[in-house]
Amino acid sequence: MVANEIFTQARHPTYVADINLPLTQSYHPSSFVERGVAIPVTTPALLGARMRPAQRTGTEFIIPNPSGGRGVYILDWGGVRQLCRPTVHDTLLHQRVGRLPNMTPSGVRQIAREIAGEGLAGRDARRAADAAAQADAKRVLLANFLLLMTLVEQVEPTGMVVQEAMKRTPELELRARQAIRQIAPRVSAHPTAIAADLEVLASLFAHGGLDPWGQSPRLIRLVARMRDFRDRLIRDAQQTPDEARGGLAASLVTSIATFIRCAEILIAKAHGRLADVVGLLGAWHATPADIQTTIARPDWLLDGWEQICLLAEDPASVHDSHAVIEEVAQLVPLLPREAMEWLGGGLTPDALEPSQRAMEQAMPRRHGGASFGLVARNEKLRAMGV
Amino acid sequence: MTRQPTRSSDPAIRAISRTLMEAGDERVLQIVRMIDGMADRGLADEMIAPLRPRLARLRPPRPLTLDRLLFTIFDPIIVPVTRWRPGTATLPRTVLRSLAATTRAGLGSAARAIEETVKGHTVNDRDVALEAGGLLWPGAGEIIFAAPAPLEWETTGLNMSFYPPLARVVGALLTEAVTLETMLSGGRDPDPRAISALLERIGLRAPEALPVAMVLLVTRAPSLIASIAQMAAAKLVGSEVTLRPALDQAIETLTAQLEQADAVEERIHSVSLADVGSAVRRVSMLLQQLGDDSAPAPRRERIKAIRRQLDASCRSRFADGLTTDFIAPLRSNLGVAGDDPVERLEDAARGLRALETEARGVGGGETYDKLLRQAAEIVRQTPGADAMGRADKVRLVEILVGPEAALAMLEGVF
Repeated sequence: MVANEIFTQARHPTYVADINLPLTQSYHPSSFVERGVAIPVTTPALLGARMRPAQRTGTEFIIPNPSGGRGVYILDWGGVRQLCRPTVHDTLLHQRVGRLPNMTPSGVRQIAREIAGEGLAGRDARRAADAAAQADAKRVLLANFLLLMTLVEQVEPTGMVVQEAMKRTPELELRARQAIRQIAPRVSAHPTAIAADLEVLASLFAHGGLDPWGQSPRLIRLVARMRDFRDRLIRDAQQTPDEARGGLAASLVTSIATFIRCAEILIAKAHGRLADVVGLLGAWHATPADIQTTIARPDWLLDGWEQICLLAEDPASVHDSHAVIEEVAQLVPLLPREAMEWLGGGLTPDALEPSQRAMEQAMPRRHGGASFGLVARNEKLRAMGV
Repeated sequence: MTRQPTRSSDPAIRAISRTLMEAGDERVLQIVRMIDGMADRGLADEMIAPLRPRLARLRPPRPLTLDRLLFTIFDPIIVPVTRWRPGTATLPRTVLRSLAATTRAGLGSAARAIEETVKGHTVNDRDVALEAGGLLWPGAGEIIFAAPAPLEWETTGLNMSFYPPLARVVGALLTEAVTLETMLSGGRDPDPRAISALLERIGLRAPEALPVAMVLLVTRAPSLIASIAQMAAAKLVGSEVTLRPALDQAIETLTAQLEQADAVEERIHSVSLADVGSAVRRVSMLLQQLGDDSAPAPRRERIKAIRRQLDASCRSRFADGLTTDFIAPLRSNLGVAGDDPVERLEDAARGLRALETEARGVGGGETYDKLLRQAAEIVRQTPGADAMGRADKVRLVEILVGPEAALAMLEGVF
C-alpha cells in the first residue's frame, strides 16, 4: 500500500480538551484547490495549515488536529483565533492571501515573501526576502533569454547548446529577431507580441521553479531535498531502529517516494512543452489557461513539502530524526483524487489511500513558555525558505 | 541573591574570593579562562567556588577535559563537601579529583586517546561530549567500581569509610552513563520500559546507586517520578529488592535539595534568560510530582513552602531580566556593533515571556502583566532610528504583550 496520509494518535487530551470546535474526522480532498494552499505560518499551533477559498466566509483554514489525532479542523478566521493567537505575520498573511483573485502556491509564496520583506518575520527573513527577490528578478531575465535561445535553435538549428552560462551577443540577438519574424505567421501574432509572450512564459517557468536551464530551479531542488530526506530516514532507521516510530518513518518514506514519482511525471510534462517552443507559443495564444495549468501543476503537487524539508534541514533538529518524524508527520500533504487525472496512468488508486497512524510526542512544545522559542524557530524557517 | 565568598579558612583565599564576587561579568570570565588554562588548579577552584551560580548563567565555553567529562552526568547532585551528608543521593565535590586520578591511572594510555578527542572542544559541544563519553564512561565506571581507596583520599576531607559506597555508586552509574545520557538528551521523556530496564541493571549491581540514579533522571525529566512510582512495588529480577525505598530516598533528597537556603533562587537566577522558562517549568513540574495528592501531608506542606520561594524567585528574576537584558540595552545599546541589537532584544523579550508564562502556573500574573505593559510602552516611545525600525518595534511589542497590541500599533492606533 502506498502511503498518502500520516495519522497520529492523540497523546495530549488535556491540551485539546478546551478547544470547542468541530473536527472533520474523515477528510480527503477531491481536488488540489480543495486541498488548499500551504501557508507558511509562524504561529506554532498553525504549523501545517492550508488555506482555500470559501463561498460564505471568503477563505477557510484546514488545520491538522492539534492533539495529533485523526482529522482536521476546517475553520474560518474567527475559528482560527479561537484555536490560538495568530502572530501579526500570520494575520497579515491571511488578510492578503484572502484578497488574491486566484489562490495559488505561487501567489501565496509571493505574498509571504512581501510580508517577510517588511520585517514581520524578523530581520533574517527580511534580508532573505530581499535577496530572494533580487535573485528571482535575475532568474526571470535569464529564463527569458534562454527561452528565446531555445526558440532560435529550434527554428534554425546550429548545434548551439542552450545553457545558463551563455552570453548575450549582438549576433545572438540578431538571430533571435530573425527567428521571431520567421515564426510570426505560424503563430498568427506580431513579432512584438511574440516577444512579450516569451517573457510571460519565461516568467511562468521561472516563478514556477521549473526553468530547465538553470543549475537548480526551485522545484527540481525541492525534489532533490525530498530525496535527501527520504535517504536520511532510511539510513537512520537502519542505524538506530526505533520500534515506536519505525512504522511512521516507513510511511513517510513511502509518501515521499510517491510524491517524487508524481513530481517527476508532471515536471517532465511541463518541460515537454519546451521541446516545441513554436507550438507552445501557438497554444499559448489559443488557450493560455491550459499552458498555465500545465506549468503550475508540479507546484500544486509539491505544495507543502518545502515546509517539511525545512523542518528536516533545521540545524536544531538535524541530529534527531525521531523528533523530525514526529513533527512532520502531520504535515505530509494528501494526494487529492484529481492527481489521478493529472498523472494519467502514472498513479494507482491505492496511492490515495490513507496509511498508518503514529504517535505524536512533540505536541506540548507548542504551548507554554516554549511556544515563544517555536515562533522564533518558525521565523528562522521562513528565512531559510522565503 | 547574597552568597558567602567562600568557606575557606585561608584569609588570603577569602579576600580574593570576595574581590571576585564583586567583579564584573567580563572580569569573571577572564579569570575563569585563566584558571582553566592552569596545569594545576590547586586552590584556584576554591576561589571560584562561590561564582558557580554566576558561571552557570554566563555559560563561559569551558574547555572539555577528561575530568570534567567524567563527572558531567553527576552535575545536578554535586554539592560542597560541607553540605554533603552520608546516605543522601548527592556527591561531595572534593571526591571528584581523587576519583579522576584513580580513573586516569586505570585507563593508562586510553586516557590520552580520550583527551585527544576532547582537545580544543568545550563543554557546550554536546555531540563531542557524548562521543568521548562513550569512550570514557563505561571503562571508568568499571575502574572506579573495583578500585581500592586511593592514597590521596584524605584530601577529600572525608573519612575513609565513605569511599566504598561512594565508589560503588559512581562506578555503577558511570557504567550506565551512555544509556542515561542518550535517554535524557532527546528532548522528550524516555520510554518507561527503558527506564525500568536501566534501574533494574543498576539495582542488581549496586542497590545503593538507585536513589542517585533516580535523582539524576528526575532532575532532568521530572515527570519520570510518576513512571518510577508505578514500578516501585515490583521486585527486581531474582531479588527481594524493590525500588520503593530508593524512590523514597530520592524524593527526600530532591525535596531537601530544594529546601536548602537559596537552592530555588540559585536554580532560577543561575540560568540565562533564554533558559529560565525551561528551568521554571522543570522545578515547577518537580514540585508538582513531589507534592501530589499521594504525598504525605508533611511533605505537601514542605512543597508548598518551596513553591512560595519559587514564586518569589521568578518575580525577582523577571524584574532583573527585564531591567538588565531588555530595558537597559533598549535605551543604550542599539548602536553597538556586533550581534544584531534588535535580535538580542527579541531574544530577551522571548526569554521574559517564557519565564512569565511558566511562572504564572506558580503564582499570580498581575505583576508580570504590569511590567510587560510598561516595557511595551517604552518600546513604543523609543524614537525610530536606523537601528530599530517600525517593524522591529511592532515585533517587540508583539512578543511582550501579544499580537493584538502589535497589530493596533501597525495600524496606527497607537
